[in-house]
Amino acid sequence: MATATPREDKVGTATPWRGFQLGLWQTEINVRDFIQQNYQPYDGDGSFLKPATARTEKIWNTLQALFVEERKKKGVLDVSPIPTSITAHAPGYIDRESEIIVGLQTDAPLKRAIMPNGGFRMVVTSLKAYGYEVDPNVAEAFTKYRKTHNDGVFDAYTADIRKCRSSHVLTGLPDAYGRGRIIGDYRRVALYGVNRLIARKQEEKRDLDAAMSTDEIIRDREELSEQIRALKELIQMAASYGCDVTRPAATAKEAVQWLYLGYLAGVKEQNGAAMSLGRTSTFLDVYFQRDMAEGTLTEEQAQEIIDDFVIKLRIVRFLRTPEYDELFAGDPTWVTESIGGMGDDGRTLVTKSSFRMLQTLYNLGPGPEPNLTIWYSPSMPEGFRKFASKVAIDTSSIQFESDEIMRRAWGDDGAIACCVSPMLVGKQMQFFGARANMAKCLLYAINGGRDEISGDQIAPATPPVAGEYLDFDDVRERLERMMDWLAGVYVNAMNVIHYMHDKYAYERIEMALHDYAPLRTMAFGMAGLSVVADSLSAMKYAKVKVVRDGTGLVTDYQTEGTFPLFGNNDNRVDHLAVWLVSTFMQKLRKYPTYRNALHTQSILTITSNVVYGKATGNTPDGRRHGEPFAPGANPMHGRDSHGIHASAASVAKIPYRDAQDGISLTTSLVPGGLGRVAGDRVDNLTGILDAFFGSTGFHMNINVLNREALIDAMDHPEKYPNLTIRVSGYAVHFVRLTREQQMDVINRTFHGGESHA
Amino acid sequence: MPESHAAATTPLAAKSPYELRVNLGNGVPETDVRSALASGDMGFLHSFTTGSTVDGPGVRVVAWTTGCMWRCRYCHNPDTWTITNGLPVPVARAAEELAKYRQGLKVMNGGFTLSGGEPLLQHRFAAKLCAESHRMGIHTAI
Repeated sequence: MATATPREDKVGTATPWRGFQLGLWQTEINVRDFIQQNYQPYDGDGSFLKPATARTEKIWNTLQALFVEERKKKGVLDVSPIPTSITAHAPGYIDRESEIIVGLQTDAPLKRAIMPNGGFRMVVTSLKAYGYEVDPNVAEAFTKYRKTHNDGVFDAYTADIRKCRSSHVLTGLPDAYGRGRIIGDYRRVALYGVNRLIARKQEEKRDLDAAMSTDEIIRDREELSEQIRALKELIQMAASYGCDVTRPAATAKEAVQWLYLGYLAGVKEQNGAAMSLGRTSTFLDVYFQRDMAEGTLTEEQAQEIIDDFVIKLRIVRFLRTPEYDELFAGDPTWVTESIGGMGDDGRTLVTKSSFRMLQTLYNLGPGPEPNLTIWYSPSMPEGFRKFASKVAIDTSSIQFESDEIMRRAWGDDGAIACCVSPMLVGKQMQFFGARANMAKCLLYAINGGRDEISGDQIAPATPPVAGEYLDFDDVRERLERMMDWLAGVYVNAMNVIHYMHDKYAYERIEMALHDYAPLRTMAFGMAGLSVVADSLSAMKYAKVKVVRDGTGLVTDYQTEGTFPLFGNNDNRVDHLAVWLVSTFMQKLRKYPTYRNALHTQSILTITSNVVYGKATGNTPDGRRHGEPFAPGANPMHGRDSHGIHASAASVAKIPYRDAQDGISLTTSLVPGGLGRVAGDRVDNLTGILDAFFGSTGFHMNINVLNREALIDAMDHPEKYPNLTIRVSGYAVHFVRLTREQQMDVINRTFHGGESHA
Repeated sequence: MPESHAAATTPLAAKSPYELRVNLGNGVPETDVRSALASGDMGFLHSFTTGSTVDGPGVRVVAWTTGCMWRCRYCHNPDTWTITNGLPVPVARAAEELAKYRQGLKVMNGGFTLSGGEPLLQHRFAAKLCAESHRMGIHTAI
């Protein structure tokens, strides 16, 4: 189990940087430079990989038993009554004798912490939902003495924002849950040790003494002070686990352990919707290579360290409300690890540890976390591309994103936050903003701002459409004005949310692992893209007759004739989708943002496509009230009937420059649809990925399974506890979805099933 | 060449694998069918799809012609037997659609497959369409 001999330890800790190439990274905090100077690209295949050891299997089996317990208890095994912080909990273990990488969020595995800073009302709702008591002292503290983010937001929300929330044209905003979408550069803990990081933060703060004390500077100084405090708490927490993180890591095991402790501090302090890991595998590989060169680490031991690390990442847990679970189904944590890609200098960033990370899906079985994400470029070595395709086919647990697009936009040390949102690690953070209901926005445009279900006036009153038939040009103009109004409310809401989150629930340790003054992006989003594109197409190419109720409200549509559908590589409708994305982005950009954040947007829904669908009436494309939208940027279920190449080509037309927070496409393929023989399937999937990411494709979630397997899993969940599928932007254990969400997945287009005329 | 009303309004995309497409070529006069077969400038097509991995090497675009005389007992698309069940499609239009996939097909080591029906029943059309495909650098298969 131990990977370091005593002799090695003494030598190691004295010279943690032994053998490393010099560079900028020694004189400044620059992890990217360290990687570039020291990593070893790998262009072979996966034949060197090792299976799970008996030790790993023992620990994983212990946890599997706990997962069964957890599911029996409505999904929550246990809750700690202690309000969380980096140092609030005593150390916890799964199996102290056998663990290689240590550290739990609380004092027991799968035990969830309460995080009242985000909102105490939510804590109470969650506790009650799972049958736990509220500690009256904690209740008093957070209602009398300590204000929360949720309290602050509702103090500053406008009437417009409240109306939009209750009518579901704008919902799921992080006003009642942690915003997440911040990736601390946890690698810095391993590379530099925390003392060095504290020194740098103190320097950054001292530099501000010279600046005039404006609002911004005062807030920055306070934040830096909090960051320094959080770093000291990290040292204390790590010490409780027997680790001295004041100094840099000296071995591969220490590098993984230090990095994980940095991440652990983040998930002790915060419960952001997405608590992503970063781009760690290539960084860690430098340490693995060094230990192997020094003769102190075997391949089996290396894989075992990674397996144990991933086990910890798989058991991250947050206490949520039932309302939250509808929007983000399946208990996701988005511990997204970004793997592979190319460097700016043309060398690949694929290393042996890129393979080792993927190998965990075999060693521990398929699973949705740590949301393994391949930064895909057709220029990557064939061995890795084919291995990644094989893993996708075998496990349906990974996703692929365009390294070409993201690297050119942000640089070669980026990582994905959550599902599809890239940023440079340690130099950027995102103000997460969920998504707006564009289908309902279209209906408001038709109905002069009245909600099609309640009849209430939500947007400012304008005359509704007149006449029997919808006129494309008329509706388009109305929609543009309605988008302008909605964009204004949206930016308003986001400014309030992020102001209050910074004030009452600041992410101290995560931000401590960023440079001072990172680039901030404000990440808006849209849901219902394909519903609106198809609806506009119907108006333009067919005839759409409106049906009104007694009050003049348009509640239904009758379409005469056919019209092109999004997802068939037909510019007539695809360009309408592009117009929608670019126009909404243009409207958003008009409104000033908190802290001058850069406006971005994603075409991503998570499971809000089901929630929004329930809340949206009949739409002109033929979708009925209550039916889910398609996830992310997907064509509507069943309407892409031209095969995967056409479907992906339509989505690839959405311009990244107007959707810089990401464009999500979830693809489901029948195994037979990829080829008759396993080898062909890997080759064909690799070809599909090369074509998509060699063109303007941005993202692809890949599922390779038969619809029959999903139907069977719905009826017999006990047979499929680990069945993992990709949904919009993340993966989930299929049996943890609600029936409704499962039906939505089953109704999606499965490519390859229709290869016969 | 007059197109039938059905041809003008029916999309070339089938809504599902189970959609029976019949009589889409009705209303095209007999003389026009003969001249189409003679010149090969137009062919009768049932539908097409992309992303097929079972119709030739690599990942391919597949188009199915209508018109077949074999009457195989195991035929899985009998609505392709009658030539006028298909849409009359000019070669230029078919080539235009195929051109959209040119780059992807090259990267995926795929190409274009003309199936059916019996494509060689419209052999002049088949030859012209395959020639267009070659001109675009797309591999062909029948």
